[in-house]
Amino acid sequence: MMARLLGGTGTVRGRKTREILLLLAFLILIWGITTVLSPRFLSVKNITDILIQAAPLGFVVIGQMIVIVVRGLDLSVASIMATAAVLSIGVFDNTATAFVAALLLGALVGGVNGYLVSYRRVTPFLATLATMIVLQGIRFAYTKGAPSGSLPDTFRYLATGDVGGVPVILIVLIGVACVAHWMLERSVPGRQLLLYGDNPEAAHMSGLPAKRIVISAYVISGVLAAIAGLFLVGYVGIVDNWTGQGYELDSIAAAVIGGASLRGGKGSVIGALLAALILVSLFNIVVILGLSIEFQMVVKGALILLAAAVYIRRTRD
Amino acid sequence: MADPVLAARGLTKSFGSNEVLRNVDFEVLAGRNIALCGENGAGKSTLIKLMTGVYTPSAGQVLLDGEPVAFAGPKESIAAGIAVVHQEFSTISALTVAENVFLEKEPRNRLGLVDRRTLRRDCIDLLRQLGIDLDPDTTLDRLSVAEAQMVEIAKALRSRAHVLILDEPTAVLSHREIDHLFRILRDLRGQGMGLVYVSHRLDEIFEVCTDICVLKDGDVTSAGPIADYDHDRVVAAMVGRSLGELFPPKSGPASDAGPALSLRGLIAEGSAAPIDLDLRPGEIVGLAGLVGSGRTELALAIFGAARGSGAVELSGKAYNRRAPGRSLAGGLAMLTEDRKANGLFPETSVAWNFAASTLGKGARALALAPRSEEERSRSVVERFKVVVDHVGQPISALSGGNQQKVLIGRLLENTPKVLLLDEPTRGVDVATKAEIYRTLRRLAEEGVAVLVISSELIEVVGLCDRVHVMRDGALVAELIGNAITEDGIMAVAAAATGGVAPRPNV
Repeated sequence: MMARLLGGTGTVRGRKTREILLLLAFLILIWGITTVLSPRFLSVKNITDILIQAAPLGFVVIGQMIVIVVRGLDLSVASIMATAAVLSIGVFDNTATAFVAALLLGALVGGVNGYLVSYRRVTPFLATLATMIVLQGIRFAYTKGAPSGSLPDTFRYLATGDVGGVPVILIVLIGVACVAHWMLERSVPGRQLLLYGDNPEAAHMSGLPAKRIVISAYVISGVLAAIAGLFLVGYVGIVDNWTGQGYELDSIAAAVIGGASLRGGKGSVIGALLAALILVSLFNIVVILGLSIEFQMVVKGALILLAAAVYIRRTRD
Repeated sequence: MADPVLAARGLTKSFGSNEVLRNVDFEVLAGRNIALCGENGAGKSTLIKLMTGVYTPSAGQVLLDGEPVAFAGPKESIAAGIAVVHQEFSTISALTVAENVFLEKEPRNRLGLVDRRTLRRDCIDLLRQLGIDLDPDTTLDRLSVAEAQMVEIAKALRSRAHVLILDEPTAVLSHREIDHLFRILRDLRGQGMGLVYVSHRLDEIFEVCTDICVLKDGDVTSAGPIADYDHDRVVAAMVGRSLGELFPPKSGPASDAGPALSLRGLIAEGSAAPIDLDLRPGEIVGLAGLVGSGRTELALAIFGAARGSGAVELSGKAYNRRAPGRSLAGGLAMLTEDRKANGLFPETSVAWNFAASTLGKGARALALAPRSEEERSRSVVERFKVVVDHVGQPISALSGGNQQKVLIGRLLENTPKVLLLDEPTRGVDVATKAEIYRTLRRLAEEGVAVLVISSELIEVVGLCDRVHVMRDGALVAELIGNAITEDGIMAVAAAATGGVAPRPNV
């Protein structure tokens, strides 16, 4: 009975549903424990803060997860975040132009990553490491090492404002997540991503456009990273050369915790977002409980190991 | 006749209410090699497991040298001299041959450390005794699959054994390697060991075994000296009908139709000469030849999954910029030889696997049509009698034969006019084979042109209207009608290839 509720025993979809419920249960568990330890944790204000803090990572992790689905890895996301924000805001005064320019830059870098991986057969790790460093160089050359500083008010508003009490950033994230979820679960391109990741050779023999699939995954990741970069500078209020530092590894961690397999072919938007929320909640909890900030890293590492252990167990079953 | 070394008397095994083995008698005699045959699920491995103590029988007895025994586990049966070589290898690739052979039984010196000199000497002695020519100091990752299997056999026989059981030992071996294995088996038999050979490759059984026992659905349907049997009788015992009934009657092409596929000067990877070939609607053409003769490469080049140059015409139209997607759109579909490597999407469901090459079907704009996908795959499941609980099940939960049916169903969704099938019945049980043959003939009758690459000569002879034989990257002969015989094909296929003994499969 319960099994049927969760999507049927022994079906592929059922397995995925159970993974998501597991993540949800874990999130509720840590929230519950923290509330017991520190009642001020569970306030509308604090939860909203956590959601807003998690949002930039949310954009990045969706893209990262899609790249992981096609057996890739995107190390350049953090560099795209900073470069897109620094360059577009530095060059263009008009907010809308800057926004579009940032997205184009993200798409361009993603396209280069995808081209290197699919046509030139560079391993994803090296390809995205290279673009990450090149972007960093361009950024530093442009800013001459000093952060540019001034930030149009519109970006502040986008990142911190709200519509009828709901933060703008969350509205945008939910919109993007819905589109991404639909794409991955219900659309032809999404199915192509999943099939390609499961077995690239079989995808080729089934007539799927292998190279286009890989390139589009990296383009999506690049664009989402650029969006995340803009929101993050808006939230922090400063355009910084190191905006998004650490997001590449956090996003990979969250994607994997959220059920994506580094062997490809598996991943879900809901799982990835829940995992991002779990990570950010844990950081918040470390602060709330008054533990030293370095403790965050210990928590992060432990969580990755826990997730790995759980998923290995599940695949053995 | 001598008393059996190992015997089963009235063995019965049930799992719950499911009786998988019924009242089975089975004897292993010293100096004889008995074949244990049967389709997948007939009970072969259950019988082996009962005799080696992995399972305990629900009724009946296992006798060792005439005395009833009850092994509590495989360790006890090994200690009693029953060695088993399993299909899956247990060797460790980073260790040497000697270390693998004596794994967990290494000779120790007084300090309790491995005595390397004795280990090496024991290994050399054992290998020499078995007639295996391997360097004991080579690590396993440098050995071929066949050599690794020799190590498995040596490992099984490191302590004195009276009985050696081999479970599908040739599944991964090439022809030449099989010859070597058979030499070793004959040697062991000559030394008075009793051998059990589990396989469904009939020609091998006839070559190396002295006796046969056939299981079907948990019963022994036939047993006796191999000399009393031929292919037909074994197959009949295995599936309950004769070989001739496996193949539907031949028909041949619609008389004056133009070719559905024609190759002019096609050169694939490894081609020795440009290839010309015509396929007409309604005919099933065989492409025979030894492994490595270039058949797969040719098919991949036609399909556009591998490089090739030369002219191809599909339904009378030039088709020169070849790619899998374009082939499928133009009515040219291909079934690959290696299901696991490039056919299946192992982590996904039956329905997803089935619909992989027709994602757009029933889709509106970019939206998938999951309901139509499920309905279509359900109808294929019914049509081909795929054994599956639900089309949402992962494809990896299905047996090889059922997976193959799903993949053939996937091809047919593209409504092909030309079908290229590379080893369509590999690893598939006999009943499914017959079903696949019937399906192919029906498609041909509907006007599809079918090209079948097969290493199973009986299949080529029984199924095809016309056969091209390939050798060393070139088409060397065409056989039509009554000229299609196993001997005729082998005479051409194996001519002047450096003395590799031809070994057609059944």
